[in-house]
Amino acid sequence: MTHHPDTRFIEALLRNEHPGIAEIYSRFADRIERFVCANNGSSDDARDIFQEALLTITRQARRPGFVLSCPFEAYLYLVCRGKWLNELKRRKRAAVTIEEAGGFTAVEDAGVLADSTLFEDARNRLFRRIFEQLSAGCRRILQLSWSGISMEEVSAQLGLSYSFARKRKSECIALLISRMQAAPEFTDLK
Amino acid sequence: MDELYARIDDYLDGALSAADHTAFEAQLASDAALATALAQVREARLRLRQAWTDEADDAALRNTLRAAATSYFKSQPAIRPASIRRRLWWAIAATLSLLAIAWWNLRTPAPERIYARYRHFPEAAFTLRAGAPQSLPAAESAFNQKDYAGALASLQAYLSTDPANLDALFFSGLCQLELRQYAAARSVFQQLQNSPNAWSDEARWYTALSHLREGNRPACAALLRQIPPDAAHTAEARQLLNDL
Repeated sequence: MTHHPDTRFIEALLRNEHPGIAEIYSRFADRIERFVCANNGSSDDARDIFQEALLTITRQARRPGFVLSCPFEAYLYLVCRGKWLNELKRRKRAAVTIEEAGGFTAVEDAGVLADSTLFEDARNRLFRRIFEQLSAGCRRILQLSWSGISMEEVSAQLGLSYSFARKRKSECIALLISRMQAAPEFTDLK
Repeated sequence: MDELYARIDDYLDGALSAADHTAFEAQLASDAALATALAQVREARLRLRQAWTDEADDAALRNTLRAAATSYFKSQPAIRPASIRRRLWWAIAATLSLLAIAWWNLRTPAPERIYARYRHFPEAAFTLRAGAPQSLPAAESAFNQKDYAGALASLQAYLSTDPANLDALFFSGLCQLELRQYAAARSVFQQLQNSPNAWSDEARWYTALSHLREGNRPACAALLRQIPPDAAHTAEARQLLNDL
């Protein structure tokens, strides 16, 4: 799969480079704003959706094997579109009929890439949300033990015996997984 | 169940002995439930680790994006005929909210309001322990239903048999704080701070909140300033200091 020349926008995001990011805004923000405002949103909504879409794309681009094989604009539009649809559903609009933005060329590769980006984003958010709902003690022991240090060090840092820390970690993982399985979105996001 | 996830985690960490590793993989080949559990733990570890690793980069990028956005978005709502009725409802809702806030401010003393804003008790989860006495599940249920008197009674019954149980101690302190038994709560939190453990940071934070709720702002502020920069409540402590 070959890299599209627009990969420079991805690189600007990955390096947090102001000139490249300013160019992304100057070239694409206006159209996304028109799209959101044409679909029951405001300029503030468009600004938030645009920002979240760029963050999501950057997270996806950090993953090994990511290749931008389509125009950045088409990819960005589809990610913004998916996020705005989700937001409209969250706001419980009964029927969501989208008025598409003009000026964007439909590209098959962009559709596949955007779908996979939105899926990964939704699944990451789900895991993060379930983790944040655990008790502080569980969050602490999981974050320490999954940060790459040994259980001996984890138990020493927490002032617990090794066997108790190990048992506690096992219980916390069990709780995390059981809550994940019970989440309504878990099956939808398989 | 207790050991299952510890074994899975050890397997993923490469921490099993050669014999245990071989036995685990043999079981994996014939046990679909184990394979599913392994896949779920692997995914949780990968996604959460990635999120923790990305946190600093995400925050820096978010700042850049926020700054860039101010030049390109006009911060004006789209005016649409269909939205006028919705705006009216929003205006009514906003007015009612302001009235509710005014009523709350008039009837609730300031320390209690600030305390309520910062008090985010963790969920109690004692029933996870194998062989836990019955008083612990009762305490967990009562605490999570905000029955702090009931939870405290069950926790104290349990602590009479196992006074060193840190979880039970911490949650008994929270119950005492909620029941305005400040001195008793602080005594429990002090025990938890005497040696490093999973609840030390929480105990320090809630000791500060106990002074706040009691109306002793200087004592609260003094403790907040002692919270180290890498503790669990550092950001909230800074914010609370600003509020004070």
